[in-house]
Amino acid sequence: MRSVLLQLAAKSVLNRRLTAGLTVLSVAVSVALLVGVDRIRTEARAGFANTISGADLIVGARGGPLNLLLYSVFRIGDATSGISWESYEDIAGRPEVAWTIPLSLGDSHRGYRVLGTTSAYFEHYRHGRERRLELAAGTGLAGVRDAVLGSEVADRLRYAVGDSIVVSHGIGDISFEHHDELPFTVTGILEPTGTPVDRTVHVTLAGIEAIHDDSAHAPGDGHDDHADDHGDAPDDDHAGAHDDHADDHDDGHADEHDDGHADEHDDGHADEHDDGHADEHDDGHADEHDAGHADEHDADHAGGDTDDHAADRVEPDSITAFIVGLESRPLLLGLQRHVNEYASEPLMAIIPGVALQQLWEMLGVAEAAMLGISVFVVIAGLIGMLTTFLTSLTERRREMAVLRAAGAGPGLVFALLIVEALLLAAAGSLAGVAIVHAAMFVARPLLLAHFGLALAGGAPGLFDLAVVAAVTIAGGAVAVIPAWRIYRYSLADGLTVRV
Amino acid sequence: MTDIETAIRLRGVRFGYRPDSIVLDIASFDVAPGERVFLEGASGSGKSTLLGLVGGILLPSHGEVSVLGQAIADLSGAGRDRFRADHVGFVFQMFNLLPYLSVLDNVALPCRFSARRAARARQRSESVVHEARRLLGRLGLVDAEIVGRRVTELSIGQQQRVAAARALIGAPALVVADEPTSALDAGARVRFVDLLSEECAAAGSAVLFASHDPALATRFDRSLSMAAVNAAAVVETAA
Repeated sequence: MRSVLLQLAAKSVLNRRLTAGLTVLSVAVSVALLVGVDRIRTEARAGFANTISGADLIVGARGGPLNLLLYSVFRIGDATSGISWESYEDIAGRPEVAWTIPLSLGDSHRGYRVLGTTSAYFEHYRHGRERRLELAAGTGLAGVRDAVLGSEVADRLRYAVGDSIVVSHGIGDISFEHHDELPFTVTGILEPTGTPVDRTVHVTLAGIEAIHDDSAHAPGDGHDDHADDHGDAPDDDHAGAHDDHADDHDDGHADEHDDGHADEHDDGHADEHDDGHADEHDDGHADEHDAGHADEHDADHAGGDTDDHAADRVEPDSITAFIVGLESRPLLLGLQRHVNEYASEPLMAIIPGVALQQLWEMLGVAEAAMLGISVFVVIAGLIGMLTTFLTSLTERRREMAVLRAAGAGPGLVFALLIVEALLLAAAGSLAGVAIVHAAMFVARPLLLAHFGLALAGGAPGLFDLAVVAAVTIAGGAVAVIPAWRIYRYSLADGLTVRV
Repeated sequence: MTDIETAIRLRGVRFGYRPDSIVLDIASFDVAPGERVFLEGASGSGKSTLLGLVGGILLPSHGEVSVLGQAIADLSGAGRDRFRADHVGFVFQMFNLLPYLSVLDNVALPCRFSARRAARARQRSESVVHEARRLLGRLGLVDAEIVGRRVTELSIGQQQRVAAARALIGAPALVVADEPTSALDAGARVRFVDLLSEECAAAGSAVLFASHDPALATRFDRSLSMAAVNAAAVVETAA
């Protein structure tokens, strides 16, 4: 009996293949939207979660934990303030700390963030499943003026090892202050990672310092204030010259840039840079570097192994944040508390996973809204199916009368419609899932190539299965309405239908 | 074929779709096993209602309907469906076939719902499909020409013969035909009735053949007028 039901339902569906096909299509499209939204959601989460791994804590100035995570790891937003080098060294020197990666942010190169760091970054930074950063070309950071580019930066701006780049103070595509007096040289280009690393220009902390020192000491007005700052800031517990620097950066230097320099460049320098400098860079510099500078640099490296880490050792006044790896995970909460209660400076330590969780909670509302909309689209698809079923009922009353005359009970007639609906809904939802996965299969290499977006892809997950099951069941449930009507008709019509 | 005395037996049967209007009022009506009965009546004379009662689709408000010795009212709804599948074959005026099944599947359909008829079909031929082919052949539908085609591509005459083959498969004890020939031309009608009678005789099935065409009456063992059987018929046609 059960096989009769399935065969009849299948043949009946095949007989009405156009309307059945359209019904399947409408269900498929709606399910594809739902599954697609969920995929994007999980891919986005995976993307964020894959950006940093193996890091136990991120330490920055006290503020919002999410903000710290976003600016330190994802290069979104800006730091409100930094960390003094002393505090960094103090915490980094603690016995439970295995390694640290100092991060100094705030500058940009043609729209891409510049990150000042040390060779520890290339040694300890992990993304995805504990994957380390690999160089596609060249070498890591060695000299003060070296730059290692993320793959997207190199790709989009067509940079090769040996090219020289100019770093702007501040963030944004058009920055008024170019530190063109001191260009950096591209020494390495990283493999694509599918993370914000691809969109980052990495330089040494010393390089960042040099930019700011340089601009600070460049001839111009405003530096009298600077000198005053120096004088006025004899912080009692700090002894060295560098320590004084840290203070003046925080106080005097920032203002100086905001007020004095910005105006000045508005008028004069901006034009000059846009026109003159771009050309100069494309034509002149590129060649020059291909030929001459690369060699020069190689030579540098050959003789300069000792210099390498000398660059790291140059102590800046302050950094923006740092990433901490611990000797063992159980020490995590203790260190976090220590940092959060740090006496001499308002600091904050966050656990990346916990902060990400906060991010998901924040994005949860938007995600829920998206999913909600998709669910309604699926419901609309099912209502479409209901409509086709109801409009086909007149035609089907004859069919049902024939079945009853052949000995079928009205229950079979009822079940036939339910089974048909289940078949259509199952076919539709499976097709929807297939569409999403096929699209992802096609899009994966394109997204990776063009946007550096790495889709995890993979087999259909639990959600997909749940959607297929839920939509199929919902399809069957929706069909109760026409099935009930045909059941009633079938009882009233008996064996003949006068329609 | 069996030791039961009547194929159909109605006693004091009254039926109305609404309590206040009686469509059918039959004091007594019998069809003997293997008997071929012609029931003449215009539409609205209560023919279809009578066939519904015999088929176990409808239950009388009064009186008793027995088919093959089985009181229909004693069966549950599902029981009546099973009884119908096992013992009664139907042919209607039109819309006898499922458009999405092949000719052979249409003929074999009752065997899907009745193991008894499937068993009897296999008794006669090698398989249900063979029996379906045999019946189609007997009814003048040559295998290769018909079986491969879609049901909807057949002529009305061919469709009615396919329907007759379906009613006959598995040799049900009773074949009920409701205006099966009204869509056919005169020559085809007689041919169809003769083929049906022949096959029913071969299977030992009783036939209740309802039609408004008295010309066919001579082809049957016995002829009855619905007006004579149904006391409520006049009222119904007047209304």
